[in-house]
Amino acid sequence: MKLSERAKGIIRLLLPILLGAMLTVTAVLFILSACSINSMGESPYTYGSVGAAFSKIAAVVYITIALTVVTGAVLLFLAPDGKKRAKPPRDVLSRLKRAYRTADLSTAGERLRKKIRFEQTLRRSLRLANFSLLAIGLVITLCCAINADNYAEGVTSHELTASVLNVVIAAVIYLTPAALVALLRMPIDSLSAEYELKLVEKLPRRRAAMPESAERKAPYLLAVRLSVIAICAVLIILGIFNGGMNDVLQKAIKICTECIGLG
Amino acid sequence: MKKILARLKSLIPTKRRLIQLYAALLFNANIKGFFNGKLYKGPVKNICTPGLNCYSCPGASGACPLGSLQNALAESNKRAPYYVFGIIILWGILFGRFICGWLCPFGLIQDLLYKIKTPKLKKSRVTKILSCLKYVILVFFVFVVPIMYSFRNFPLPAFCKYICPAGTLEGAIGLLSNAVNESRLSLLGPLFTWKFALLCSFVLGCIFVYRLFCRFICPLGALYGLFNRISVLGIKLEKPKCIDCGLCISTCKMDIREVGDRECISCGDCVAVCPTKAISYKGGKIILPDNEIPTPADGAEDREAVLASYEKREKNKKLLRRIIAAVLAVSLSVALVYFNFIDREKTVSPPPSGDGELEYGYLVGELCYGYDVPLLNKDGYTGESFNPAENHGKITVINFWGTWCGPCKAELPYFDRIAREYADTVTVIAVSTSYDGAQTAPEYVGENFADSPILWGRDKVLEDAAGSDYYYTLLGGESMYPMTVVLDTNGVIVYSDVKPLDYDGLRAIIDSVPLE
Repeated sequence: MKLSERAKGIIRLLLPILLGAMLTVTAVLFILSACSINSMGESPYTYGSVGAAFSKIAAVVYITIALTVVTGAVLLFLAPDGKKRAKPPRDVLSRLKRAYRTADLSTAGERLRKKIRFEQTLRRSLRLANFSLLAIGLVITLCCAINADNYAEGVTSHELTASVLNVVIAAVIYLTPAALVALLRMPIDSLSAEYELKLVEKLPRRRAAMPESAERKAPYLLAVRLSVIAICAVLIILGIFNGGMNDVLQKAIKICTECIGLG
Repeated sequence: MKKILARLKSLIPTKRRLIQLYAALLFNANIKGFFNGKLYKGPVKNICTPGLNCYSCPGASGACPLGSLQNALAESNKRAPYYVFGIIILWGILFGRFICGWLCPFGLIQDLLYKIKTPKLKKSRVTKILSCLKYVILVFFVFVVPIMYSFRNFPLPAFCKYICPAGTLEGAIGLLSNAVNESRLSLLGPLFTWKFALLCSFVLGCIFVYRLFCRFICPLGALYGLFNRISVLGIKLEKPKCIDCGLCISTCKMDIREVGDRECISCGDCVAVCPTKAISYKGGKIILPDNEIPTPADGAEDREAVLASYEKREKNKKLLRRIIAAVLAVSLSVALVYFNFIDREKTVSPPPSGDGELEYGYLVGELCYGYDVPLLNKDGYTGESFNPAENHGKITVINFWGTWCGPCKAELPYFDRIAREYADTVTVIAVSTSYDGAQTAPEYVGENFADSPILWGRDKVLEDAAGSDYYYTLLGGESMYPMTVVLDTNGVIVYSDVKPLDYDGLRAIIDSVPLE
């Protein structure tokens, strides 16, 4: 049966969406099943409880697996002929970088230079403000973590986990406004970069110069690599003698179960 | 037919995929562990593998660098972590994030998940900002928390415990799903549920987002990325040839700002699209084909010589590639033979069987194996010993613990309380591992349990098996701590499990044992 291009296009569009939805539903069902097992009380995980919980979603899992295989096979043969050609990035910062490479800045007047410098300073300041906000938040979160640390003799692992999780939640609550600020910064960045691009494109073009530092780096690089490798060798030898290597072995074969999340 | 064959050709794995599979097999060469449900405990685990591969995986042949780093930092108040830092920096300077793209088993899993045909979330400025999250995780969970808690002598590898999906996938699912370890499922609880939910989220995320874990979460990638510019292997950009067309950045699925920066995993997708051949692999001059075939002008004097020299060079490189492939294949074969056939589980020689109806053993319902556990106190060995199997007339609680194990230390106060409240009917003996963490067992006992009625013992190292302890292995221990065994008044095992116990749980076990 030969399908028309339109039909192929519809299948190529809809089948992945359907598969994505099924995979999401399956993942959510897995999480809910694990939560239902966990709510059964002390030592809830047994082969019986796990089997009972996951057998309820077995049909969905099998359908998802089958759909994955079918989608893969169908799209393998319905994929468009030829590879997609990569296109240069169209975002304004990449275009700005390319424009600077060929713009002759020496011909820019004082007024134009001031405008360009203003736009660059504006973007840099916003970026600095955003990172400062994140850094201050991180410090505050760490201070809260140290303050909230209620480890004492007799504290249970659950209480310890709860106190660490509280701090993580506090960090997430703090990070949300920082993320919002970052999202707000993006349109301002784009507008400023667009304006700067318009200014730079007004300048005459010149032949791109070879970066000067390309050749200079090579001799230093070898020296840095050799030095670091030598330092590593010394550290490893020191570690063997001070018992560090034995620590690695012991921790790898004596498993603290809660330390790897089995608890 | 030709079209079908052409489509099927796209399924043939690339060289990079083959190397990823090779590395995954090499780092998990202990295949028999998947069948017998036991970890490899030999000397090769002294070495950290370059990629993320949890040492609780039954197939793991080496130690996880991230887990080893956190454990070493958790004991940094006792011992400077030279060895782990040395190994990680060595991997970093040699490979950088080439490891992420070519050698990491978890990276391979993410690549395979991304192949599932669903709509994909492309990179954007949001993902670029999110890629900084892994540095926050590196600083906080890998460095700050373990060091902070090391000053309290409480080992807490925070990333492994709360975030790492490799441990959940390989340890919980890989190790505990084996029928041999069925009884160990009882140690799973809320923490595992959280990590399982996280694992499901990462797996789902990796289907829609290219290498979600590598880009946003993995602190090991963050650490290796710092070495990307100076590493021996990786991707390099020859700036004189670069025309800033940006095709490399738009082709790359990672959040790079420039080819070869700290986000670059050296997958090589950009090498093929560069119109001026400015991108190449570092260290590739001796084995990889040249980026460009020389094209001397017609009529040039040395034209023949240049072309002949190029052909000879390419021939030598081909030969070298074949030799390297052969060496790698032989190495993998040797590893598979060693781990699966030559390396044998060290067994203990149990004492002779009992005279009565019951056999000696380590399972519930059997007479417990005996061993004269050497006792210690805050000053060291006392010269006395105690055999739990001969403590007839009283209930005996044997707890296997270690100063390097945080949950083990967290439950000891409950054993102390039980020992005090049930002093007439219960004897508690806490047997520490032969290996000490930041604090030795005598130091810890002297500091925290100086007047405790608990008997403090020390296990001995199993002969020819540097990692395993004798009595722990005799009583069925399989690398997991803490373990508690309870004997009734006749020395018969009534309870044996691997999980931290609280006071109520321990009391319920004691109260269920009949007193004769």
